[in-house]
Amino acid sequence: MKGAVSMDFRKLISDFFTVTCTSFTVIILLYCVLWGDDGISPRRVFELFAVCAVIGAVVVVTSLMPVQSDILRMGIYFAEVFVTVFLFGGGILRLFPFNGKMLLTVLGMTVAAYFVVMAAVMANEKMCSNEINQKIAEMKKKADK
Amino acid sequence: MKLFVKQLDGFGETEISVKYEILDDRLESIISYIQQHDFSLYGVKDGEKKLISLDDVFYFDSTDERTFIYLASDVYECSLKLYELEQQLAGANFVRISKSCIVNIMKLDSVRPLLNSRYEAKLENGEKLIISRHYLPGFKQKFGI
Repeated sequence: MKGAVSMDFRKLISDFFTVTCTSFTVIILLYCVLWGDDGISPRRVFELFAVCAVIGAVVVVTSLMPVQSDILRMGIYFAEVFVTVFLFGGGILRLFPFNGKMLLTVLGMTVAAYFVVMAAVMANEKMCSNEINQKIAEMKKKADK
Repeated sequence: MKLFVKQLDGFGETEISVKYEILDDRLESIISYIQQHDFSLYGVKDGEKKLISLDDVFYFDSTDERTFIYLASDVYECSLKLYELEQQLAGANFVRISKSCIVNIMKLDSVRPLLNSRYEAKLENGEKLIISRHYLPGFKQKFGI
């Protein structure tokens, strides 16, 4: 049981880094595509990382909530990502001005990052499930002998 | 490894003794296999008590403080609690996958990831069970992952 708990904790840490690093990569790449010509300051890089890290932490903490419905779960993730980007990124860190065009751009970047992160997390899990399925097939082969 | 099998008239209860210097994985699995067969499981259906072989069990499920034994197409009630079964079957081909369910990994057909680090397990009889996030590390550990 103790082993399972520590593995559960390791899984949370691994999820945190997957979400934070993947979203940070996507955001930096999109930022460079959109505003790369104007340059990007080290301070801005750290601010963007802070937003991604907060999103990672919030997603990991709320993933512990016992929500059974996948649609509701996606809705919760969506909501917390947007709240973090607009309240923390836009409101506290003042990463972007609150005007129509900018809000639309940030919204687009956030949606893109969200889906890339979801795809990365699912790809991770898919790899793990493939490994389990392979072991199941091996076990059955051995049992049939 | 040497195997001695002897038939002795009037010996009484069958005895299996394992002598070893180092307890390796192979030996552990042989011991747990023997322990699994030494464990008698009785199920009740329509007032009739029946000895059930663990090899026929697909999964155990607990509902309203009652434990049920699910076979390929039959369901029996069991007098043991889920935690007692979990203790008895530790080391065997059974693993807890949710608060209310213990599955026989030899009856698994495949697994696939769902959202929020949950998996869906498909059994040989087509039934589908959910592997909850909390029990996923233990489930993966059973496959050496």
